Amino acid sequence: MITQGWYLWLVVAGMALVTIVSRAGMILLSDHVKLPPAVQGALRYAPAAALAAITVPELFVNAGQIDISIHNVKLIAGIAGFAIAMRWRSTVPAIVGGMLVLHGLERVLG
Amino acid sequence: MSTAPKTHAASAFDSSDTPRAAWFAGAKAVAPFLAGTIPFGMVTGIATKAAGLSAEAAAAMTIMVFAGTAQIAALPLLAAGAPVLVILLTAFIVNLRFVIYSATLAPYFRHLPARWKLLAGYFVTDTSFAIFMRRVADKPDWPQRHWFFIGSGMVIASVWCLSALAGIAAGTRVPPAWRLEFATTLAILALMAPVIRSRGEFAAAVIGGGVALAGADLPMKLGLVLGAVAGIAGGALTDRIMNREVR
Repeated sequence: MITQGWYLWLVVAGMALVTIVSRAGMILLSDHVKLPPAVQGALRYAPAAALAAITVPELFVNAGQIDISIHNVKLIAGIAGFAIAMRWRSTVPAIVGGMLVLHGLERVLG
Repeated sequence: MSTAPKTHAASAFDSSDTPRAAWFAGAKAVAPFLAGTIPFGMVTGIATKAAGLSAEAAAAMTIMVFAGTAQIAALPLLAAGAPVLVILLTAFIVNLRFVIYSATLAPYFRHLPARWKLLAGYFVTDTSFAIFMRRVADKPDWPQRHWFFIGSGMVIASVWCLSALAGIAAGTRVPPAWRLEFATTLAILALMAPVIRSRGEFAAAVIGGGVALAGADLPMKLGLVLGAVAGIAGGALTDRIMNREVR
């Protein structure tokens, strides 16, 4: 299994390092490094851009192809979950709602 | 720094001049936010377990990394066996908001020794940052401010880690037929929703997602990295265009 062994531990150690550097880096180095306002402004968009870049292909690609039909249950369930999250700004209802749509659709269509 | 001691514990919240009082003031200020911290920790734990990690590895990841959004974002990549560098780059991009927080906090912690700065850095979270900035808005020169920050950070970290461990324990009991790995995708979508507050952020998400989809067939998950970079550029550009229109 890929989620074991040296690969996993390299990822865990690397992520721990990357995270502490992003968190503590500017606190430690603020006397030597200054973020230009333009860079700081652009960094605001990183979470939205990265999270969308992860989820959009995950939802739209079905069996190796872009699928925007009713048969792509992941896409519909994902849209439902995202809509719930946008409307109520709450994580758990979005996940539960999306999972219910996923299983409901699979039962109906499958 | 000998100010008159307060007669009642509750009043320490308002003028906490000892490290101890400041620590407790920070710890208390977290309380209303735990309603968000606990489910977020549990979701992270469940998702980590669902990605196929052993309970021990999931627990180690939670405590060592201590960054729910970055962890949840990394899980689909980890499960797909993406290159380590791509996973780390993704985690870094998701963590870029911490760089902004860190730069904003830096002036308040400038006087501290390096080991204190590192400790404060570990406790930089969305919640601790928000609470701290609200608190120092009134008194930026408060000498005990770092104790306040550490107090809030320690409560958030311990509550979040315990919630994640509970989530990992719950995740081990869920049968695969529930398809919990899809909950990870839903969790990322749920984390993305509150981030989209302006047209710039909306553009960043649309462009980031679109470019990643167009590049979905690229090797080594490069489409993801390209999407994230294009999204950041697109968001910043949109912001610039919108602001020009306003002026």
